[in-house]
Amino acid sequence: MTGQKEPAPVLFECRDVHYSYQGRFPALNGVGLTITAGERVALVGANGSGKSTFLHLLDALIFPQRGTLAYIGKELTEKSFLDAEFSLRFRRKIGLIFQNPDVQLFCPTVREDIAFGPLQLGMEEKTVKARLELLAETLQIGPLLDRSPHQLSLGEKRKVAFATILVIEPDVLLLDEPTAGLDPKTSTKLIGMLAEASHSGKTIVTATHDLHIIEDIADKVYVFGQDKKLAGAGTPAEILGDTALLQANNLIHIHPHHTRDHKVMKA
Amino acid sequence: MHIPDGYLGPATSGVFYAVMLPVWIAASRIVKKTMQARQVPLMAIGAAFSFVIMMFNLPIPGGSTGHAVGAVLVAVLLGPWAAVIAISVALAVQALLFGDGGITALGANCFNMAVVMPFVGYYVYKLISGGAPNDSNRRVIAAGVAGYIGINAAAFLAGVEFGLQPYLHHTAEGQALYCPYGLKVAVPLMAGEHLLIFGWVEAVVTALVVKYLEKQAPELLFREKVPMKIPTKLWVLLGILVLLSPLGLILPKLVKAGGAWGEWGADELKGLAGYIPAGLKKLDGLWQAPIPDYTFQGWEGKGLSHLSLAYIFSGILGMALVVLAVWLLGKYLSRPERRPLMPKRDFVGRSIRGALDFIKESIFADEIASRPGVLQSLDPRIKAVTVLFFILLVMFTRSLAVLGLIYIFCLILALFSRIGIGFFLKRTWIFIPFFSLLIAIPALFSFISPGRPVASVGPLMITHTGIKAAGVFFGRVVTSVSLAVLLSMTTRHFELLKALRFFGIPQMFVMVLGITYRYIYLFVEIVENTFRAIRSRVGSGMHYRKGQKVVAWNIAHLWIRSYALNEQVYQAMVSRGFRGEPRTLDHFQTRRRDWLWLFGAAMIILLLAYAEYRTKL
Ligand SMILES: Nc1ncnc2c1ncn2[C@@H]1O[C@H](COP(=O)(O)OP(=O)(O)OP(=O)(O)O)[C@@H](O)[C@H]1O
Ligand SMILES: [Mg+2]
Repeated sequence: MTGQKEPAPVLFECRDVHYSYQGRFPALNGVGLTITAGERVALVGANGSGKSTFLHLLDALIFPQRGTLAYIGKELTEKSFLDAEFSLRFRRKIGLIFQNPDVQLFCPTVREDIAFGPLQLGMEEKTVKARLELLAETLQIGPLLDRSPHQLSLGEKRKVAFATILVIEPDVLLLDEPTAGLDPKTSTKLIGMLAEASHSGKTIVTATHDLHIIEDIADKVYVFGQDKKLAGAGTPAEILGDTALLQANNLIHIHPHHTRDHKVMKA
Repeated sequence: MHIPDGYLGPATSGVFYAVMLPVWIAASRIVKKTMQARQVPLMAIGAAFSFVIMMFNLPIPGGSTGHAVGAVLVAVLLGPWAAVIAISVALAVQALLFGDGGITALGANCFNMAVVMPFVGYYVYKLISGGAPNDSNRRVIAAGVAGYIGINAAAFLAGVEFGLQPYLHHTAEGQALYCPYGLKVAVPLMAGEHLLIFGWVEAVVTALVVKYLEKQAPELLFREKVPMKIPTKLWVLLGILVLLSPLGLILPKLVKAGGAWGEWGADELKGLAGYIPAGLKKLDGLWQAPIPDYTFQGWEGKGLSHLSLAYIFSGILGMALVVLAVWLLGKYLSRPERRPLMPKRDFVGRSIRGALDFIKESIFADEIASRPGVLQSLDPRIKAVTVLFFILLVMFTRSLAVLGLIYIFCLILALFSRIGIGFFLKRTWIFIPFFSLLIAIPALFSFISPGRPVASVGPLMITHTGIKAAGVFFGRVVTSVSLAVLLSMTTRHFELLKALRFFGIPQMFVMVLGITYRYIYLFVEIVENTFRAIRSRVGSGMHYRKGQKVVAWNIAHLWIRSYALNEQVYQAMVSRGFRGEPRTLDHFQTRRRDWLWLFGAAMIILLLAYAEYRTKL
């Protein structure tokens, strides 16, 4: 990101992406969108509309069965990840926080979990330790370091999961429901941290049901429909204003007070 | 069926480790080849699943409950080779962290439960189910039969291992040094128990879980061809050879002595004195190098006994007093937190309690491990090494006095590590040693331990060899359990697992152990919640058939969840750069006190060994 006027480079480009689990359970039925560097994107949609699947595709954990997905012009395929060099570069740049923190945190202690990523990615042990200390301080998770993930509360788990990604210092953060189950204060804090990350130039893609937060975390919102295709796209204001769209996608009754037509609906 | 330390002699334990090493290597090669990087989470979650299966209590007719080992089930789910690793890891976690099964006996336990049981079970299942379609009764029956035969094969083997001990390890007087019962007692005992009771539990669990999985998620049952190449066949051959090798060891002795141990008369032994010691010494030298074999020195001249009665009696008296004290203490300690009486048949309650106890125990262990005590302050690697050497000394020694001294040393260490002695005694005496005490009692008498009579109880003669055999056997079990518990209580579990690196265990296994450990908790919580849900919906009073179905369904469901979890964890690892070659943080640091401790411990061990050698205590 050099010149101010220059359009930001395209980071992810996906076209007509299809994916189904075990060939039987469709999860995405032709999704196309682009994400540019430094952009803040929110993915919203009903349960089972394919948000998590889409994030896993962006993180190249699974690959499109039809259609294409490219990262800075290079198509992501199973084959491209056989190249250790490319795989390493990609994994250093992209960080995904899973929806389920019990999946994200698989090591016996928090400390080892945070160190896992950087160590696999070939970082020096000294650097890892230094970053770990620093991060523990900023996220205030110092006392949790030697505890086991199973002993943590959900909010603490989410915080630690966040740390396991931040420690890699990726350029792109993919977040799957980061505020689910958090109390309002912790949630606000997390949003603050995301804003900070965005200021420092990171690209942030968040899947969420929480319409409260999308104005704070996104410039662009994509709505995933129940047919597992894109049902709409726009700025947060545009999307939040489109009651029919929200209603059709099970999003509105969760926080009806967020929409203009709240009273009308009640009447 | 988890053999504790002290039941098997060093030779047997060593042989089984020696057998397991190539088996583990072969298994991990095969699994790595078929699973690639996926093997790490799959093995870990498979191991956590194996660990947790034993928490599911199955109601059995007659109002009691029992739990399955689950090894055949794991083999049917993961394939036999992956089962070898998953179950071995589960057994290692049990032995190291929860004192279930001995550390020196781990090789033997793995051989019985992680090799013989899954392989026998798997092939029986294959043989009977043949090409039967999914969801056919034939598969279900095949699984049941496989479970039954698998566990009985393992139990039979354990019986043989026990039964060989008196032949392999005894003093010249015929005093057994380890498990005191010969084949004639041990095999029928182990086999009977499993043929009659546990075999059926295993059969029911295996059959029902396979039935549900065939119906609900047939793709989760192992369907691939088991890779069996030339090296594999070689290992199998090796395994058989090893099974036979103890026979090879004892055969010459049997032939020359003209009868089984237990039937040897003094004269026979004396007559053989001329040449047996030399031959035996050579053999013994193979595994008893640290402590020169002294029992053969000088006994020819003195007759059978050179130990004073007074010494034996004081030993026994001491033991009896300790037992009494511990028993009283245990009674006293357990009073305030006495649990509500729970009918034995309440399998729901028992499963919940199993899960809760596990969690409580581990939280408590963690708390103790962070107290500022002597053992806690030591580097886990050095602590593990020294404890291992103490356990080895316990395994090799033949002297009650040495065992007693080490035991006292354990108590002192517990004290200085801020573990309440009462708690420590309770924790180390509850299960294995108490059970072993019961086992040791019959060995006192002449029908098991022939020798000079010392006293008689009715028609039964207590013999001098019997007293020593029972005392040494029992002392060994208590002391080694205490040592293992000291280690696991004063070390944070994850550090203990990492310390294994120091023993040359590959990083991959250490990582698998760590992930296993982490997910055991998740699964235990699932078990607890499931059974709470069952109770809230149907209560615990149900017919045992229904109860069995409920339990099996929940195990099947846990497997479905485990499998999904395994895929997700794999992705979570890949997302952070994992490509199959793990790297872990190494933050151990040795300080001066660690080296001091190492030196001190080495001195104590050498001193005890030397003292035993010199004084023939
Ligand atoms: N492992 C899987 N196996 C089979 N089907 C799956 C799997 N994971 C997801 N699906 C299916 O794929 C579809 C999309 O799932 P996905 O998890 O991507 O939705 P989501 O938008 O993240 O939902 P939520 O808001 O509940 O997190 C769903 O219909 C789901 O049932
Ligand atoms: Mg989701």
